[in-house]
Amino acid sequence: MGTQQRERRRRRHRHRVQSRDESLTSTHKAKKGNPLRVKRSRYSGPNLPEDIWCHIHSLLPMRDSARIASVSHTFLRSWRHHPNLIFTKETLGLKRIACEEGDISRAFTSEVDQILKKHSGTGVKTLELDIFGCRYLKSYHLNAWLQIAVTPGIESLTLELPLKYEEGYNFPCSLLFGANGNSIQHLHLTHCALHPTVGIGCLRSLTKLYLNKVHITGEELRYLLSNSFSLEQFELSYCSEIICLEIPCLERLSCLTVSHTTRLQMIESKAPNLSAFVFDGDLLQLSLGQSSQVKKLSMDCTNESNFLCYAITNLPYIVPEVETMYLSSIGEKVNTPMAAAKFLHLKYLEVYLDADLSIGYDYLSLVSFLDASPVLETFLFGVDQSDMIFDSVFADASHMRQMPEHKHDSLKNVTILGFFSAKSMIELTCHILENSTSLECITLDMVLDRDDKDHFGRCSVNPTLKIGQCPSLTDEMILEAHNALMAIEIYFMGKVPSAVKLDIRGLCCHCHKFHESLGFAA
Amino acid sequence: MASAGSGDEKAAAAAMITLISSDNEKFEVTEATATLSQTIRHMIEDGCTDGGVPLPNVTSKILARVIEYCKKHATAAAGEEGSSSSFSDAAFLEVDRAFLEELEEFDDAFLEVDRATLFDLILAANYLDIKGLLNLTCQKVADSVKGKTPEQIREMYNIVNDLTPEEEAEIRRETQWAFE
Repeated sequence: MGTQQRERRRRRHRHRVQSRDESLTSTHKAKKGNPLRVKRSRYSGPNLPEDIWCHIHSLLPMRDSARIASVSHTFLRSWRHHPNLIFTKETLGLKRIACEEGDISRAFTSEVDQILKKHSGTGVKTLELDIFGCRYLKSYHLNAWLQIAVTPGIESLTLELPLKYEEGYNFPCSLLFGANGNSIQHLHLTHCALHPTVGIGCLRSLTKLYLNKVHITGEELRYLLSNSFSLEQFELSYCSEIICLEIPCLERLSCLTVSHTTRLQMIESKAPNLSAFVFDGDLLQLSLGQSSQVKKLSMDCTNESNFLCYAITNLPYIVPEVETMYLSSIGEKVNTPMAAAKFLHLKYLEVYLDADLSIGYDYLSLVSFLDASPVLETFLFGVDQSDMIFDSVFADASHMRQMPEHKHDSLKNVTILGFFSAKSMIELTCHILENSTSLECITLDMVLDRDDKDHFGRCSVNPTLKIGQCPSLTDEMILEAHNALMAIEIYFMGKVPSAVKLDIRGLCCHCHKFHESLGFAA
Repeated sequence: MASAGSGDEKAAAAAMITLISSDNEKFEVTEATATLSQTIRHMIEDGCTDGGVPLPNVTSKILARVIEYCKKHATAAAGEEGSSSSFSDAAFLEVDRAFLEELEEFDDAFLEVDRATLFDLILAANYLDIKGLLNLTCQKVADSVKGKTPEQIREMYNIVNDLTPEEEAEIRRETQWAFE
């Protein structure tokens, strides 16, 4: 601390000396009569020492800092000490150069080379290399850059390498471990091979790890994780060598994301404080610990595995504390059974289903989820379909089923996206309307718009949206939307309790018009 | 024991520190407010705050502003600690958001000062080692130089060009990529 203060004092002193020189130079120059310099009234307050200008530069994006390097020696040094080096085609101004890809790689290499050489030994904190488009980049250049930038004090390293590097480039593990491993907080790797070995040393500050299309085996990953005891967020995607993902007892790990890791068959987490788990891929064996604390769960199942049936049967045991749940299934061949155990803390549930691969599915069986969730407040159900093959309520309206013994006392908000006129869909909606004693609002939308995360609805009725951005619908879908609106008219109008707000969202008058080929005369 | 412990905590929370500006004005602040400054935090830890903390580099005008900032942000820090346990509760999130918005408004209003005051605040934040205030004030300067030409920046901040034309030309070559 003492030396730091001395250093600061020394710098301040140097600065004082410098500013005296500066004032001399400025009068000298003014005498020479530079009209630009004397015309305007100058700011004449205190000035800032170099370390502060350095800090100010560090708050600017790299490009902006470089653009003003020629203000003075202080600014030049501040630029050369810029701690956050983000190298992409955009930041290097290569985006607009219309040239062959070989030239892009060459231009990228020469710019990064000269910038990094000038930054040698300046304490880079963030290095990002987005060289996905530079196919001809030589790996020895990359290694040399890493040698310069990855030094003790490095906090964040992001490598987005060209596709072919996934097979051919072995990330130099030795660089990261050891002294540099003490400071690194974020590590994002895309397209490379990573082979840590036993006894690699630890990454004591690593809080975020992101591996995308990285060649690493399950065992190697285990070495890496067990040496990263500060880890808070871990994301693994497209790492096809891993068959079994074992997360050791990492006390701080709160967020785990696993997606498209095709050969993965099992996930076993011993992290005691894991609170969010996101999964996207084929259904597998899942264990999140004896007393899982997971409160947010998102699972998007990409194989036809009757995922909803799996979810209601198994998830109450795997994530007993879950409060928010997002489930997406591409195919249900069986109806959703009644649950043996309950989601005692579930307040928010979103379920998506691809109806084209779930022909014959009974939508009323979704009541099982409502039954299994005694404190559920919000239920959102989205149906994706284009084939429109289902048993319409208009074909057979006899024996509309009712389940009056199933009450849902906490349910306040219900949204159905992609509402259509299947008989069991009408039954499900009737059931919710009749048996949800606290219901406040029910939204029935004829269109499922997966991009509309905030459920704004159509561009024609929402002035905040750009005209023409609704999802495109086929003529069959448009026709069905009209049927669904008719079904709502027949089955729900007059049945909605006065305390409940019914929000019906139909088609867009700009985006959803019949194509002429159907020969539909108005 | 437990009740005595909480009593001690209360006493500690209410402990006052006297800060003395360069023009000898005295400011009484709570320890929670004062310890946003790492410099003062270390002095408290070393037990050398009896009789007040002299701050010979900070005038009363600037110190008053710095304290205003610290008071506001000390309550923010306390609020964050209190609500972290129940972060999943939507109602709490709502309160947090409202509070953060209020804090942002405060910061924006706080930065409505002339350049000399801004620089004095930066120097004070640096000397007192108040990270949030240093970043806030430096960001204001950073935003002001963004997109400006070197000549405009020299004008704005009274910076003398101490580079030779040759050096300037070389820097220009070195940073040509940033202008493309």
